[in-house]
Amino acid sequence: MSEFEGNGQRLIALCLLGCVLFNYPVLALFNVPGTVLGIPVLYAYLFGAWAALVALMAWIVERRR
Amino acid sequence: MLQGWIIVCTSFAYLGLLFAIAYYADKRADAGRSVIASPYIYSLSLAVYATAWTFYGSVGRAASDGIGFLPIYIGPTLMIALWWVVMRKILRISKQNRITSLADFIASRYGKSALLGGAVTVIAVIGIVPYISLQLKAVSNGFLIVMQYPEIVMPAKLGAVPVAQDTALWVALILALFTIAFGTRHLDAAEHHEGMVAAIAFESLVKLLAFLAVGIYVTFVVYDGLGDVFARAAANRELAPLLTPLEGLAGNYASWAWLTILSMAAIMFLPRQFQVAVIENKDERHLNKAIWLFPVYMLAINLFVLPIAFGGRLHFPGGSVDADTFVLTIPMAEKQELLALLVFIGGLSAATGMVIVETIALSTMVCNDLVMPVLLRLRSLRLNERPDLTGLLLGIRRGAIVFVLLLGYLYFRVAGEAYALVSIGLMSFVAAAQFFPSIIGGILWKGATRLGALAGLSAGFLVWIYTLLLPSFARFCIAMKFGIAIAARIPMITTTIISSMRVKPFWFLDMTCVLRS
Repeated sequence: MSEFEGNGQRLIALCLLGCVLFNYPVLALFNVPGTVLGIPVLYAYLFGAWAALVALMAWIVERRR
Repeated sequence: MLQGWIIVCTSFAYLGLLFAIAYYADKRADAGRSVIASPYIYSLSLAVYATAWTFYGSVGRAASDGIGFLPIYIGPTLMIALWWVVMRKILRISKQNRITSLADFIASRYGKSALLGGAVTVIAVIGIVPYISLQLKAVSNGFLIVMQYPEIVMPAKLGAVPVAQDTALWVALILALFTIAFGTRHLDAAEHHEGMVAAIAFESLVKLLAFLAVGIYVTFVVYDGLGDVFARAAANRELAPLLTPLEGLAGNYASWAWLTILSMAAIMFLPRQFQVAVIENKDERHLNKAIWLFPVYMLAINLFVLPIAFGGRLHFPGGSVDADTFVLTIPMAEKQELLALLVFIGGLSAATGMVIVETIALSTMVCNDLVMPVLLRLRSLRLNERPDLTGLLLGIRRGAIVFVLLLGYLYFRVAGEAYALVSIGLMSFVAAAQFFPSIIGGILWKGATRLGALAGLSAGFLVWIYTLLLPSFARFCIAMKFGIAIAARIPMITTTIISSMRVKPFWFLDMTCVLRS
């Protein structure tokens, strides 16, 4: 498998991971009262997971081979 | 310093600057030294996705249901991960076949079917009309509000005005002229608009900076940081339920998922997204950086939506100020004139970017895939004997731009006042989603046929008209209201499973709209 195809498959896997992270039931786990550093848990989770997902995408595309 | 003439002059100066950027980029392109051949410009031009909806509307949505605005940006993030495979394929097909628009692309996947191309064009034009009217509404409301400074008066309270004095009409006409000057100065066989792309990339920077500025101001100057805003919201009886917003109705998770899916379709198949992502793409390799840079942009422009929304509701208790205008009205209430002006220009850039690219993309389709095929078939016109059709083609395009913008204005006049910005935009998202099956089928599935695509598209479009477009008129038309309200209770007979699944969450929305009105 070439690096090129590998990246495609890694990104597809990330998309699927995102579909799980940003949907029921995982969302429900974080839809609870309380705060993280003053930010409501659900909001902190959504933005945190989103940022992590984008960081992973950047890492896959940009890493030195 | 927020006098009327300053606002008007700044707006025109801004449009002039855009024009200068476009002119410069076009000149450079003619000289063979493109300024847009960069993955960064490509990523910024994709950010034409963020319109007045994002700039004004997200805050409005967040103020009423918390996190509900976010799937519109998470969907594209998930979709763009697939671009490495899917968009690359679309780019290669498009370059090979010299594709000039979305309609052209779909038609070419089904044996260059002119009928299919025409159908796609009609669906795209009608489907996008609410989206254009959203931009007109946002700009004209922003203008009317900022003109009242230091008072904060909602446009709805200013009373009805005759058509000739309606700001939205003037916005529509100025934007039409501007787009014509911008996109139809000359004819490019490949439909590349380098100047436009450069200007759009610049607009993406302006709207992001303006939004971040107001976000940082509200969060850290008006309030004492994120923790402070959320703590005050939690202490407020009205706002506290928004902090765990998905509780209660199980349907909320479903509509969250559907919004995500809709926006996954929108990022690829809104005519303007197809234009910037595919038609204007200079180099396939720009995709690599855009795959993560564009999501970074969306993340950045959404960071302060919730603090502004909660800050606005705390600042203006009792709902006297429309939440769609918080980005503008909070700086105004705090007497931050310069910031208010920056926000107004940011909103203008968000709206004009969308209108320019969308109408250029639509006018290309109307010309190449709807009007010209018909004219060429009319033997009596003897068009194929004419040596040069440039004048005719440009004329059709200019006419199409004016037509689309006036339709947008008409929709604003008839139905636009009643809905929040996001609800209007979502209608167009659903319309664009109709293209999803026929495109994916067309590129990945050998068994897809022209007739199937045509049947699916028209069935989906009819359901869209029936469940979304007509009810939006019905809110204003008492005579129609009764009929539609009854019709809305009859179980929908669906022609295709896909189209019925696609409209489901909005089906619910319509019902509530109709029932409420």
